[in-house]
Amino acid sequence: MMTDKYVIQVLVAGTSLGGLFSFALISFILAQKRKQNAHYAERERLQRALIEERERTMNEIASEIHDHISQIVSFAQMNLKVALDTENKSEVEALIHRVNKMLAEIGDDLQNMGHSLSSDYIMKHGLFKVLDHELDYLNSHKLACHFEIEGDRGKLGIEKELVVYRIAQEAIHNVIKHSRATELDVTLRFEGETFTMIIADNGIGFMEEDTHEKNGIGIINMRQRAKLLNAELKIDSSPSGGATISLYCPKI
Amino acid sequence: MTQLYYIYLALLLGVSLMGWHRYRLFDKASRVVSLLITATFIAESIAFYAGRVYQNNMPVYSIFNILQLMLLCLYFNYSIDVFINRHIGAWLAVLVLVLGIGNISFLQPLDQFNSYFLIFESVLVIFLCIFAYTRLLFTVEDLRLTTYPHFWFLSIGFAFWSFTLVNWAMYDYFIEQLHGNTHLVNLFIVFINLLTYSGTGIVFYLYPNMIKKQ
Repeated sequence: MMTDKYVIQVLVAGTSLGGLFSFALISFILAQKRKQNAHYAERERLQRALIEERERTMNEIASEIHDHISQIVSFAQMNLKVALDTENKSEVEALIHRVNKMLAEIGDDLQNMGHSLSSDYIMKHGLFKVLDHELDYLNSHKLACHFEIEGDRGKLGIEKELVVYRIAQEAIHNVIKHSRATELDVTLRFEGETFTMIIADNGIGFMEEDTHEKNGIGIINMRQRAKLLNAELKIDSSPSGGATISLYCPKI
Repeated sequence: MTQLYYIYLALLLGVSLMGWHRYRLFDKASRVVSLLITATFIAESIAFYAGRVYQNNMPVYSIFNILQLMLLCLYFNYSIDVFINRHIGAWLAVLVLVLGIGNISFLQPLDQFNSYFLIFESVLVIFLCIFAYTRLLFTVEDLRLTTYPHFWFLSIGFAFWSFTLVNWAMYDYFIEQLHGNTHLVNLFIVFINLLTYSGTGIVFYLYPNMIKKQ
């Protein structure tokens, strides 16, 4: 014969177990969903940044074509018109020579633009060569660039090299556009399993907080790309003290 | 016990009225929950009357339990994404009807406690709740569960049927051991029902705010 006390004990024990199980399951589901939502928000942010980045690249190409290439083309056209109206042969030759130089400049610019945008080109020629080529091109455009590779040239792997190059490109682009620098140093350092890239300029510097307020997509992009490499991106800068961007990749 | 039962019936009536008051705001699945609460109130009232007058309300519960599980299947039909297009919940409701009638006809007649069906009901609802949870977890993106009414309906349902599975599973055993003196067990079940329907009432009450925050 079962006593009332025993019935209560069984009921309380059974209910407590059921309650605990329900509570544990509900808590687990809530925690998992919270994690998923955070992941989803991060993915959304990355997608937005990607779209903004594409849009920015398009705008840059458009402004490069409009501000630089189309101006040189107009100038070349003017020179050709003058040449058509000129009877003096040596003057015509000088004008044609000038137009030829302009066209060569456009060719160089377009080639450089094409190379720097094309992943295939970067993957084919490798980080060192493409970066060297990019800095050579900048050297001829009033920015003194120094490129140095320290340690044994390790292999980063094609995909990592592309990501590193895009970070370098972004940093260099920021130097050209905002820093008013006259010198740019790029160092790639290989130490055992670690790889470090340092990009330093002697420009006006900046405060990272200010870039967030204005248009910090460039820095966000660099950080996101560094994240893809499991690397750390460090920015040291102060107003009028130049800027140094270091990418520290602990394991190649 | 009678006073507690009055409180229970009053709570059911209150939650039921709240459900009908919010009915136009509800989606299909929540409307089924509202209907289920009203059906529960009517069934409990009839059972209370039958218990008083005829000293046996088992037929009321035997029939109501089938209706209850059919409504729950319809709830899952509208709240689980993969069930909606294939009408799986509706088919389950038909299966429940067949099994319920089968149980009454061949195993446990109307005037007998339908423990087999109750155990089947608890297991099925717990299974469907877990399935619904997995759908919420793995298919719906960017869903704030804390302000999602169906998450709370599921959680209340899951907790209720986890609690009661033990009680229903052992109900026959308790009746046998206590020589029909099931006062304590009934009290416990009413207490759990009070908690469950209070929870449902809170979700009904907060429903408009929850929807806004989604």
